Amino acid sequence: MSQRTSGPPALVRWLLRLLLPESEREFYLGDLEESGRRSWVGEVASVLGLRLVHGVRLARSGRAGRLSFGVGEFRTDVRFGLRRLLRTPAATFTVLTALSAGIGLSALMFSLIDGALLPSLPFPAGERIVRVQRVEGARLSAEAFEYWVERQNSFEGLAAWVERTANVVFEPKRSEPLESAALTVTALPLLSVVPQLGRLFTLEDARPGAAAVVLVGHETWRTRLNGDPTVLGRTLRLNGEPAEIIGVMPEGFGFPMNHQLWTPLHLDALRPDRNPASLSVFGVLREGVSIRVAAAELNDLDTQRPRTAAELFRVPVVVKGYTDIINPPGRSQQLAGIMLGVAFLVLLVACANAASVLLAQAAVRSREVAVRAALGASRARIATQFWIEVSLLAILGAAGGVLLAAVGVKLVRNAVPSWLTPFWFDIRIDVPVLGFVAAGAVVAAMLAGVMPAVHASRGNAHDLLKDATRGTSSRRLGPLMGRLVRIEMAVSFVLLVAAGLFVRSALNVRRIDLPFNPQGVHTSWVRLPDARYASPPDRAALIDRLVNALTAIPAASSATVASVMPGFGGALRPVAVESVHDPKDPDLPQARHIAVTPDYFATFGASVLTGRTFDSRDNLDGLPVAVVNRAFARKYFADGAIGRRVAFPTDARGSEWLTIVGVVPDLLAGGLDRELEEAVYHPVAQDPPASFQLAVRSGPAGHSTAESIREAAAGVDPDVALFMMNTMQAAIRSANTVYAWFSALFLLCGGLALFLAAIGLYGVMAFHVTQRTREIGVRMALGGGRGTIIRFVLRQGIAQIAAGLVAGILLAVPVAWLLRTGLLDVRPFDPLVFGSVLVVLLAAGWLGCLMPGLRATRVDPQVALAAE
Amino acid sequence: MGYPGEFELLTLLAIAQLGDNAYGMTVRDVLETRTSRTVTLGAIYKTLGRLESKGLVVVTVAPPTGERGGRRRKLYRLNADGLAAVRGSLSDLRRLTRGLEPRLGVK
Repeated sequence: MSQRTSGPPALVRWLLRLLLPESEREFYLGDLEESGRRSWVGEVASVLGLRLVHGVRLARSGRAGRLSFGVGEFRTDVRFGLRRLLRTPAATFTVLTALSAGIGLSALMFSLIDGALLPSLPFPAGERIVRVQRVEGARLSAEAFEYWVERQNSFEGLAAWVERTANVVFEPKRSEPLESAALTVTALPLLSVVPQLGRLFTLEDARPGAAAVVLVGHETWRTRLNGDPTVLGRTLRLNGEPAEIIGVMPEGFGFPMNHQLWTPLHLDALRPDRNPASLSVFGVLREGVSIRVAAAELNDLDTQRPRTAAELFRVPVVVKGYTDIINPPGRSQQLAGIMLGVAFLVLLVACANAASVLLAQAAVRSREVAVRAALGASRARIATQFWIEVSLLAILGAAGGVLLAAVGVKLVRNAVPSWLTPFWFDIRIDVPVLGFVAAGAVVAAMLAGVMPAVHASRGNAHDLLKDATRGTSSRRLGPLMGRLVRIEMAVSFVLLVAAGLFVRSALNVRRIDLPFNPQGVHTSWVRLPDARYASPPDRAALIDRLVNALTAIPAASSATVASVMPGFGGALRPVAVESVHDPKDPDLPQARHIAVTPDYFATFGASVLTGRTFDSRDNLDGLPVAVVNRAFARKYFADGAIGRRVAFPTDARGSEWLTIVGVVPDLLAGGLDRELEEAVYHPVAQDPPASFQLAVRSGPAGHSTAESIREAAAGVDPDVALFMMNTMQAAIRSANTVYAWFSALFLLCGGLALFLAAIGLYGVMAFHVTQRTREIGVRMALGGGRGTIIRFVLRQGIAQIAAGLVAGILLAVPVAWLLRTGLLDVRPFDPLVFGSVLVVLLAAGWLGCLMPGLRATRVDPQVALAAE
Repeated sequence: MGYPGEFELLTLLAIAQLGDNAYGMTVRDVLETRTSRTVTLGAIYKTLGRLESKGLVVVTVAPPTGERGGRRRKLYRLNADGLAAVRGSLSDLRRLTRGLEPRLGVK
C-alpha cells in the first residue's frame, strides 16, 4: 500500500501549504513526502479540520493577532463585510444587479456559442469528424465513395448515408413521416456509438435481399413505442414494408441531423450509375491529419478514378468540420464573435458601474479607513477588508448570474423548435460555462474592487483625516469617477448602436415588402416515398395529380408545387450561359435553381414580363425550357433573354441546355435577405424533385384549411408525407426566427446596458452632489436660488456626458461598419439608430443629474453646514 | 494534568513504542500496523498538537533528511506527565475490566 511516489501533486501541495499553519507545515509535508501516501483527498480534508482546530487554539492562546491571515480574523472580516453590504442596501443592490446581469448575460451568450455555434459532435472523436462533399452539393456517387474507401490513408474510416423520409405506421391506419437515414454498416461503429438496446447493423443486414431491419431513436422509442424494453424483434411498417426493430439508439443521438430512424444502406442498389441519389459522406480524420491534407488526398484519388458515364466532368471534393455544414465556419464565427463582443461590452458596463458605485463608497469611507489606519491597521489589512467585501459581491453576483443564465437557457430551449435543431445542439450551462462565469466574477471583482481598495489604502492617515473634514476626497476621486462615467457612456453608446442596427434588421424582416400577397396561402413540405417514386415520370405524374387535387379543393383559387416557394431561398447551383461560359469551367457563377409547376407565377401574382411561362407542353418529352427572373436577365442578357440557353453542369441532368422562354419579375428567389436573387425556373415536369413544397391560395369563396389540403393529398396517395404545414405568413416568420431571437437578445443587451449606464451615472452624480452638500448649503445660505443650484449641478454632469458621447460616436462608427454584413436593409450609419441612441442616452444621463440636483436644493442650509 | 482521550492514549502508547524515533509518519505507521485503523496524517497532527498543549509530550526538532525533501522532523517523547497519564488510564482500564473477562473474551 505504501508505494513510494514522488510526493503529493502540485495542487495538493499548494492546497496544503495554504491550509496548514506555518508552524506545522514543514513537518507535515516532510512526513507526507516520506510516507508517499496517495489518498490526497482524505489528507486535505483532515488538514482542513486541523486548520480550524489550530485557528481556534491560536485564538484561545491569544496569539492570533500576530498571524496576518488567521481563521478567526477572516471570519470577522466576512461578517463585517456582510454587515457593511447590508447597511447600504441600495448600493449593494445596484452592484449585485449589475454583476448578476453582466455575468448572467455573458454566461448565456457563452452557452449559446458553446452549444449551438461552435460545438463538435458529442462523440469520442468529435473534433475529427468531417463531412466530405463535392463543391455546391454536386452528386457524390457510390463508385467514388467505394474507390476512396479502398485507397485513402487520411481517415480512420469513411462512411456514407442517404437521407429519406420514412412513413412509419405506429398505430393502425395512421402513418407518420419520420426523418430517417440509410447508413453504411461502418457508420455507427465509426462514431463509436453503442445502442441503448439491441445491436447495430452487421454486414449481413446490408446484403441485397437481407431481411429489412431498423434502428429507432430514443425519443421515438419513448414516445411512439411507450419505452417498451421488449421492443426488439417487433416489426414496424416502413413505407409499407415490414422491418424488424433490432436496436434502440441512446438518448440524444440523431445522426446525421435530427433523425430518428436508421436502416442499413445497400450500396449495391446505388452502384449502377443510373440512380441519381447522391451519397452523403463523413469520415473520422486520423490523428494529426489536417482537413486540407485529407481533401487533397481525396481530390487526387478522384482524378485517378475512371469517370463513369454520368460524370461529364469532375467536381472538386471539399472536406469540412462536420458541424460546419449547419454553421458555416465564417458566418458562425462572425456571429460568435459579435455575441461574445456584446457580452463583453455588457460585462464591461457592469464592471464600470460596480466600480463607480464602490469607488463612491470608498470615497465616503475614506474617513473610516483613516481611523482604522491611525489605530494601527496595516495597508494589507485594509485592502484585505475591501477585497473580502468585493469578493462577497462577486460571489453573490456570480450566483445571481448563473441563476439568470439558467433561466435564459431554459427560455431559449423552449423557444427553439426541436425539429429545427440538430442533435448535437446542446444549449446548457456546463462546466466550461461555469468556468467562464467564475473567471468573469473574478475579473469583475478585481476591476471593481482593486481600484477602490488601492485608493483607500494609498493615502497616509494624516492626510485622509484632514481630507475628509474638508470634503476634498471628491477632488482626489472625482477625476477617476468622471472617467468611469465617460467610459460607461461610450460603451453604452456603441452597444446601443449595435443593438439598434440589429433590431432594425429584425423589424425589416417582419415587414419586408413582399412582391406577392402572402394572405390566404397555405404551404407545406412534401416528401415522396423514395421506393415507389424512384423514376422521374412517376414523380411527374404524382405531382400532376397532386396539383389537380389541390386545385379541386372548393375554397382554393389556385395551387402549385415547386422545389421551393418564394421567400425560402432556392438551391444555389453553378450556372453556365451558352456562348458566355464554358460548362466545364470550375469557377462558374451561381444562380438559384427552382423547379415550378405552371401555376406557380399566377399563384403568386407575378405576370410574365416577356415571353411566356410554362404550360402543359413543357413535359419530359418536350424541349427543355427555363424561365429566368428579371435579376438574372438583367445580369446576363442585356439584349433580350428569350431563345438563349443556360445549363446547370453540376446537376443530375448534367450540361443539358435549357432554352429560355420567358422573363418574370423577381419573387424573392434569394430568400428574405435577398441574397443572390438571380434565378432560373424550370418546369417540375422536366425534372421532378422527390421533395418539394406545395402552396394553395384560397379564393374569395372561403379558406382552404390544412385539413382539406391533407385530405386532398391523402386522396392522391396516403403514403405521401406532408410536414411543416403552415400559412405562408407564419412560414416566412418561422424561417426567420433566428433574426427574431437575435433582435430580442440584442434588445435585451442594449436595454440592460442602458439601464446599467443610467444607474452608474445616477450613482456617480448623486455622490458628487452629496459630497458638495456643504458647498451647496453655503451657496443657498448666500442666496443661491433653486434654479442656479440645479444649473450648477447639471453643468457638472453634462460635460462628462458629452465627452462620453463624443467618444462613443467615434467608436460606434467603425463598429457599425464592421457589422454591416449582418444587417438587412439597414445602412450601418442609420441616422434613426444613431439619433435615437443619442437622445436616449442624453435623457438617461440628464435624468441621472437632475434627480440628485433636485435633492440638493431641498437641503436645509443649516443642516448642510452642520453636516460635518 | 488532563486525562487523555482514547485516540490520545493510543497515540501516547505509539510514541512510547517508538522510543526516540516518534514523529508524525512513524506514529501513523505504528497505529496502522498494530491496530486495525486507517489514520490520516492530519488526524495524527491534530492529536499530537493536543498532547503538546496538554503538556504530555516533549517536542524536539531533528535535522532535515534527504528522503523528506530536505525538511526537518518534529520528534515526540513522553515526559513524566505523559507516562503518568498512560499509567493512570491503563490502570483505570484494568480496574474497570476486572470481572468482565469472560464476556469480553480476554484472559
